[in-house]
Amino acid sequence: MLRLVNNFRNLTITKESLSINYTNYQPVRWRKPIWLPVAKTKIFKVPPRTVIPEEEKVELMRLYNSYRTQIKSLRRYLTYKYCTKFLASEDPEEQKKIFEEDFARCIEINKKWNEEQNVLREKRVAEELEVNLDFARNRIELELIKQEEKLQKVEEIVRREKEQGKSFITSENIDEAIEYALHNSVDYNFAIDLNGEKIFGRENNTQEVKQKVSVLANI
Amino acid sequence: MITYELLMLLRSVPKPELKTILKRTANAIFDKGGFIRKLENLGTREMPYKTSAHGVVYDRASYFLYEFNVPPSSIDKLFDEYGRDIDIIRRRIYKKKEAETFECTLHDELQPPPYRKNVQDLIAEARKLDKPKFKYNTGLDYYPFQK
Repeated sequence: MLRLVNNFRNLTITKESLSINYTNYQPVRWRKPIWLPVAKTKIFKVPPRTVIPEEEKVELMRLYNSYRTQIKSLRRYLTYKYCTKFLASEDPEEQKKIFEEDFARCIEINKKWNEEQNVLREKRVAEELEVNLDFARNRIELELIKQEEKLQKVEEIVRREKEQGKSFITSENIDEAIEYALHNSVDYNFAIDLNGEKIFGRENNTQEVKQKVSVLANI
Repeated sequence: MITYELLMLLRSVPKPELKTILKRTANAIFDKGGFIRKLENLGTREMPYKTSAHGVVYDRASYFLYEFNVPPSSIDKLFDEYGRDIDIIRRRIYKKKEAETFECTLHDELQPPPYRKNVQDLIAEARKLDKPKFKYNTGLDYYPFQK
């Protein structure tokens, strides 16, 4: 309507249309944000109670009463129709029969599931057993091999010791050993030459002393 | 069964006396229920430095090596017994270790440095850090124009 009026204004060029009255001009209505407190001018303001005319009040009351009655009856109707408590009380024999049938059906389904699961379980258990047996057999084999190796190692040590046992020095042949040691001294020191050959001995002097030639003699 | 090595520095004395010392030390091992695997004479010579034992300073010693087996519990007693023997200047007992097998690399080590494998590896490693150089891609190993 406002726009219509404005349009009309534009059409009719008058003195007023040329100058807009800015005093009442409000393009967007400003609203108070929700987080701001109540305005100081409105703190103690008590708004007047809405007065409903007597006739209208009677009419509203009538409408509301009828609505309440209808809803209540509807609720009661549905409750009586669907509540199991009232159904059970209707015919106990029938209820029991229905329950037993349902129970039997459940049992049947459960049995079927159990059988299926049993087949699967047996298969799985058999497989697991086979795997475990394989693992155990493998371990036994490895253990036996290990023991065999250990035994061989021990046998080898014993054999070597027995061989060396002949040359052991005991209280019987200690004199000979001492005599031998005193006459044959051992020297582990060695030098190495450029060919990688070892020259044993601490005081071994293999290098030949070259004859010194005087340089002055040749002149 | 642990094999032990005993290295002893004995007082340098004439041979007959040395024999009795050696016999005494060997008998100590036999008394503990052991036996000797090897007895070696490493010679009589000057020690690296003056050594005092039992209140006397020595500069010469006879070096002897025993390889023996005794119950490990009696090693302490044996060591103590040798410590109280005035003819023994120094003694030390070791566990004998098996000689480790190794590959002889002397041939490689005697080569001049640039021919050694490990030196070549080091050079190759260092070359990686070189700054990148511009390549002319002329197929020539020299720059054909005047610089």
